Amino acid sequence: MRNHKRLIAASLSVAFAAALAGCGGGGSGGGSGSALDGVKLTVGSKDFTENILVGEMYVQALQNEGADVTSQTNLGGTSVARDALLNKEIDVYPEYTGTGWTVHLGNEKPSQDPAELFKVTSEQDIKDNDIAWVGQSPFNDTYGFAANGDLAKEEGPFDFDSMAAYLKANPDTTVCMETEFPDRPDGLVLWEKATGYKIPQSQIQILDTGLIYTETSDGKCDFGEVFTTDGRIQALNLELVEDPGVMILYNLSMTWQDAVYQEHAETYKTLADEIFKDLDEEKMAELNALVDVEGQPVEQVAKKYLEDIGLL
Amino acid sequence: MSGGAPGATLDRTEPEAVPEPDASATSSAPPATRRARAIKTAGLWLAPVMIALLALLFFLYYRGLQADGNSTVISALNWGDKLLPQTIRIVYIAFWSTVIVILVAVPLGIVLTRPAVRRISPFILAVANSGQALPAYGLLVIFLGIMGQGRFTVIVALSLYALLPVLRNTMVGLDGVDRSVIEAGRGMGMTKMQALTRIELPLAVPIVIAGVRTALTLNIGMATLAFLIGGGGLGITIQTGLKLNQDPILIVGAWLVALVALSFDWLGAVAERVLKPRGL
Repeated sequence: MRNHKRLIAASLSVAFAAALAGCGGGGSGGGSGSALDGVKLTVGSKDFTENILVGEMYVQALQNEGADVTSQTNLGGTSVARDALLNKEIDVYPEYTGTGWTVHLGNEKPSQDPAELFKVTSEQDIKDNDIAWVGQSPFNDTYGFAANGDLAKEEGPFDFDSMAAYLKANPDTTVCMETEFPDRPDGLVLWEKATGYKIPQSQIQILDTGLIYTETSDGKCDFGEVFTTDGRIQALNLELVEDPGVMILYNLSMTWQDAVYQEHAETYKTLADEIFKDLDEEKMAELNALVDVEGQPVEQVAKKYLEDIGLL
Repeated sequence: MSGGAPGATLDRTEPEAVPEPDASATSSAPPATRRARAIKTAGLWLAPVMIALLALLFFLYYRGLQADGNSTVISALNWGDKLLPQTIRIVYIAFWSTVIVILVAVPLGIVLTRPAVRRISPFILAVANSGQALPAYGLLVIFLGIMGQGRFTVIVALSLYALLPVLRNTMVGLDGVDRSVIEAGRGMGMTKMQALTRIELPLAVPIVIAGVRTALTLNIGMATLAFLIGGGGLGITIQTGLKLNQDPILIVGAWLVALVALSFDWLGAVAERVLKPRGL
């Protein structure tokens, strides 16, 4: 059964590679490497735009080095992707340090220093699970709040404390959030601890994730809980509330099965570093917006980015 | 005169005993009826016992979670802040949307079975059908666009969603009344209105209530989607359990929904028993 699936996936990826080669004529002299000739890899990702996008970048970069890559991007939620990696169904997928430290490794109190968090997370994961953490994105895709744009213009830019003060002074204003955000250990509780204001139930409005952005943009929510690299923050009438370093850090890395990684560690590391180098919050949000707001296909956005940084 | 018992005897003596497809309600044999009735009565008493048992098990499970659950579970399952208001909200939504459905669908069903407007009934049914043909989430989002977020939007959307079963059952129930019984009533000097209120409606009650119970159960299930457009309800807890991969949260949310649904279905059964004319 699994071989069968692999065969189909492999033939699909061959067809995809052929298609890429067909339309990739414009790329000037990027030149396919051959460091990974004959290497078979399966790349996975979680099920949302940013993760799919970065997974797809890695797929194309690896293919460009001659690897025979099966793309399993858009695999499922966090637990699905992680289980697939642990069960050796995929070789690599992009994961966030904050998630690794708290969810996968079961720790509390993550460091607020990105480098430090990466160090402790990768050290424990390789020791306990033989998972290697490779490369790290400058962008931090964490939970945050966005104010309605008009409100932000009137009441000045918000940070966490002034947002709390505004909520306290205006009891009829609401914060829209996802179902699980009030209960996540890395969610609302951090904000409440930092600001000292416990948002009463009457000021909390639970909405579907996707609707939070549009309803906050329309002013039906005064504040909305958002992901800080979501493309819709720039595209809609939203203003990010400044986080003084309260929410957990979620920088992205490639998580590899270590045994597979070690076979060509240097190449894999270089490719990851190259991809991550220019991915700050602004750039990531812009790429996310190309997919979510303008509706461009993920493959095309990934390819364009790789060409821009000179990897293709 | 009470419609049932004389109707049954008339049924046999009338020469024009038209073979109606849904006449079973008026012509089932007495022994079978008695046994079915006994079973139904037992069910009526047994259901609350089962519901109480489920509630007790729930209470024990919930208390166990409070004792050894992690902080996420305890936070998500806070009774006063989360579970109780969410349960009340789901009852509120299901109750009012069902009330609206009854207020709209039953009169509409009566009007549509009158000979004068019979002809347009297929069109009305088609509209009611389309409400149910849309996916519930789509219907909610359409109404979000029209009415904004909140519980009232959910109530209106769910009313449209559950309109069909009640409307159709009302029509089927009224159509199922033996014409000869109505003719007999008219022959005894009843006006059309009297024939409707004293013969047709009482005889159609069991089928109409079956439709209402379907609508009520649909509405309770669908009310778990209310949170998507800011309507609150136990869907929040269920979705939280799914998102955080915490089965206890998911189980508690679903369990409460099941308790609410079972309780309301039982109330429907009681209502059916009380409202049904004697001798049926």
